[in-house]
Amino acid sequence: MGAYIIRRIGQAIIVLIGISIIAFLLLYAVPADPARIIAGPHATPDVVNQIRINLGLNLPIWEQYLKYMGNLLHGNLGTSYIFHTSVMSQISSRMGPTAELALGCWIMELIIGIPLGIYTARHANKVRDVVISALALIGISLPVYWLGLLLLFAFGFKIQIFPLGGTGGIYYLILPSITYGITGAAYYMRLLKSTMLDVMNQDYVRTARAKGASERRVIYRHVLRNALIPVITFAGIDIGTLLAGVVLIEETFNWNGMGMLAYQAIGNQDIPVIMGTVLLLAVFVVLFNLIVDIVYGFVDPRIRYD
Amino acid sequence: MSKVLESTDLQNVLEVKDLQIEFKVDEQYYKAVHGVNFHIAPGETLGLVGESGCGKSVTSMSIMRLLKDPTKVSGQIIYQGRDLLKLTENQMRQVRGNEIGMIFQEPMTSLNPVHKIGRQIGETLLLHRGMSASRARKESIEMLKRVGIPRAEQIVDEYPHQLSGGMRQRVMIAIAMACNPSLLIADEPTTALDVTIQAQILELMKQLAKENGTSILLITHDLGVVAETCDRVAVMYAGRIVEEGSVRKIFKNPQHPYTRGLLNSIPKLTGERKRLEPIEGNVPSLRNMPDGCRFAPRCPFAMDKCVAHNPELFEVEDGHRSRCFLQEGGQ
Ligand SMILES: Nc1ncnc2c1ncn2[C@@H]1O[C@H](COP(=O)(O)OP(=O)(O)O)[C@@H](O)[C@H]1O
Ligand code: SF4
Ligand SMILES: [Mg+2]
Repeated sequence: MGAYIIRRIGQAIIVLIGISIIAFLLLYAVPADPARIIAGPHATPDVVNQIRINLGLNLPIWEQYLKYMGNLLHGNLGTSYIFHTSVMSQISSRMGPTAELALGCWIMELIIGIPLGIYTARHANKVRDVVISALALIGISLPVYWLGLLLLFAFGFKIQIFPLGGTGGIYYLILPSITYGITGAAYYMRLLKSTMLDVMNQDYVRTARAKGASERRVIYRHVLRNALIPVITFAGIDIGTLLAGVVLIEETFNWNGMGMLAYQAIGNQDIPVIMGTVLLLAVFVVLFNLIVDIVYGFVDPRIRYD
Repeated sequence: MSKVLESTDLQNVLEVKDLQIEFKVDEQYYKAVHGVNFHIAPGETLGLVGESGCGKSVTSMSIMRLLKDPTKVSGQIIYQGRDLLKLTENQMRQVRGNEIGMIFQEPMTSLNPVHKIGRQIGETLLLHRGMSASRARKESIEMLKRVGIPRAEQIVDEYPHQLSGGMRQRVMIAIAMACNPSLLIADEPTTALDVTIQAQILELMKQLAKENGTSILLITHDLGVVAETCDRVAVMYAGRIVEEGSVRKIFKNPQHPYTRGLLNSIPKLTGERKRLEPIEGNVPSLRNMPDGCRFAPRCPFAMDKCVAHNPELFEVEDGHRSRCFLQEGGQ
């Protein structure tokens, strides 16, 4: 197990370096001239050139990359073209609210999605399942933005239980989490339902029944544990991406998170900030993939020994 | 229909009477099992033989009431004087794994991959004996020893994927026998195993059953297995019993053309090498059941009346019956 984890961490680092190269090439090399953006449309070529030299943009791309990575190792992600503050400080000031929101959304998806998945699998093809599955389809196709506004209107404005937006504790977190939970839970529900139906046809489930286990016991002891394996993968990748920000939710609920930072940076063509948020997203996705793999080892004994 | 002595109900562990099983295929019900009767005495091993698709597994699953809806099961399945088809689901759960144990064809997939061996054996004891987890674990180790698994103290904490097919089938036997059932149903228990392992597993089943006085319903497509293991045999074809009797009588004096066909297709160990002659054709599917004798399309002796009428079970000799017009009016 120890060797396995070390090997996986090694792989993760290689993946991250690969992603950083690709992101760097796409951001710095393709939209040709960041210096022009910084200088503004009316600047003279001399000014633009001076900026280019100051930022090191005149150097060959690989040298720029190495410099960037060297700074990165010292915790320096560069300076925002627009705000002239360090990208690191911008990101770290958003990290707290983003983590809160990500966790809230994720937990809500799981709380809604997993019980519904179990329920619809147990009652597959009955009216209840058909109704819930239809509702789930609606859930998936609802625009987050629209649902968020609807909930805000209902529970923030008409019945004033929750704040109308902003950050600051659990009260602020509930509506955005529910909004995201409703739209995201449908994926969990469908994934869990289909794997459970698969597992229910396995021979070992027949063995459990032949032992005299109750339907409840069969579902929770024998089916669920096996059916959760793909759900864990999905949940791991899901939280990784959520931690990089949830743009639509952040916008709707006026939540100052990573998503808004990235969104605005793209609008401003603020390349160091975009690069920083992209790298952060990559780190989270890779990190949670790694965590998923380790958790796998505990859920599925077959994986530990290969 | 043939008459069965009513008094045998009490002597027999299991008495299946006029069993009918229908499956729904495309909004219509089709009969997979058609009026099957058989019985098993205490300590007796009955072989249920037939090619794949004849309805053997479905019959055994109906005894355990494990067939999934939409399925219609009718007739009587009398176990120790009680009709299992009339029990509630709760009562039936007390029977499964406790009074009737079951093992299956696929040892590689019949154990839950995420639970330790000990817990899988212990679950039966937990459910039916109300044992604590630690007692159940100790008992599981004992069971592992009884089914001949070496290093029982270690294996109890291992997972199924760490064991070979033969070892897993031993674990399945341990699960099925943990509560000392009166009846063990073994559905092709050795089909998926190597020949050398097959004999060991059959031997183990026989030995445990003998120690406990357990009756066995042994399902197989292999008459060779029957010869080694069973006391009596019921040959099944296309949802019906076509011949039944003691193993000795059936092997010495097979009557039904289907039984003879099966016998010709087992490898002989003695005498000069004989070419295996599999029966030509296939078992009919549920939707294409022939009227009359169901074996007629494949039978070298088929007559006009075979196609028009379904033969009854005719008595050939004492305790030996055959469902074929060739035996009409005895021998
Ligand atoms: N759930 C089911 N739905 C429809 N047909 C089935 C079902 N289960 C079994 N059958 C059919 O019933 C017949 C008997 O099957 P089975 O008992 O598995 O045969 P055996 O065990 O003798 O090989 C086969 O024709 C099979 O296709
Ligand atoms: S009844 Fe006729 S068709 Fe059927 S087995 Fe006997 S001879 Fe063959
Ligand atoms: Mg079968």
